[in-house]
Amino acid sequence: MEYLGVLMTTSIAAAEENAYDRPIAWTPELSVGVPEIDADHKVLIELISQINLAADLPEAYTIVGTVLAALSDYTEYHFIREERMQQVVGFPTAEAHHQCHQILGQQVQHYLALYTANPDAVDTQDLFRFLQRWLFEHILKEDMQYVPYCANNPKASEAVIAIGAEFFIDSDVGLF
Amino acid sequence: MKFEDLRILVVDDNVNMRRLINTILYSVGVREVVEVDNGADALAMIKDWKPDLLLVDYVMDGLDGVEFTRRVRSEIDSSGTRLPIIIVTGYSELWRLNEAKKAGANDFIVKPFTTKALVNRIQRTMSRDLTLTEADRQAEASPAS
Repeated sequence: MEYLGVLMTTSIAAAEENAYDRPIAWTPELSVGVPEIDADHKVLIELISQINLAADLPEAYTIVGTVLAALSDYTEYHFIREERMQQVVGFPTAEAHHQCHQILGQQVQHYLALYTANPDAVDTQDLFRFLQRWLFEHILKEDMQYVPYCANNPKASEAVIAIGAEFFIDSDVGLF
Repeated sequence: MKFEDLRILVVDDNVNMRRLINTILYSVGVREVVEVDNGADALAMIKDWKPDLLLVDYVMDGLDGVEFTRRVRSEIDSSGTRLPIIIVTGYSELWRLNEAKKAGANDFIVKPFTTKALVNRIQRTMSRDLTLTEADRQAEASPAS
């Protein structure tokens, strides 16, 4: 949490300069009290950390490209789960939260399109810093607001679990 | 087929790609993923431990994905059921796809890929009839063209 403490308080610019070299990980301070949502956040943190790990490797294109695509798919999935949960528990500022999700979703789509068209157009260090900062700030500021409504609330978990892996299944993917 | 019930073996000599595939599989509910960094060890492993599905890199030192698939079809599929194999590759040329298909791969996914694409490949591969037919045996026994 020391790293997050630095990042979130006095010296964001200084922290950002060094953030690229630091591992990122989920810590209990990030818990929103809903195990399924915490698990989603761990996946997002792990995906973002893999941009950092792969950035300078020869295979960076396939890895960063796949991470961005995974982030696009997974943020969409996670946001739907989280917003459904907020709806079920009657979270009063759900609409404002939805707007935050919309903005990030558009930004991820933008980076994905940019990277797909030309990987050299995206600075992976900037991408990593942006995603890392956005996710941690979003969890610690916006997500923590729904904790009183959702933490240890069985209805919250039920709402999240109701949206499972079938979310990812389409009918238009060709096979051999 | 439930993703949480699947046991998947990831065969790839790139540790970062193995970790990424593992993360993506975890993100959709798969809870038993084993990683191996070469085809020979994977071949030895599946003689004792049968995963439900293999995700195999196309380009690897030693046994590549296509040769690995041929070896699985000739050495492992003795019970008449095909072990499902999806080839993962950075190449998208048609001849490579045909080579993988002829070797007996069930499907093929090109990197970079989306989570939805991978999930759909897995879902459809697992929902197919995986019984090994005589036509399969003959096609896979003939020389690659």
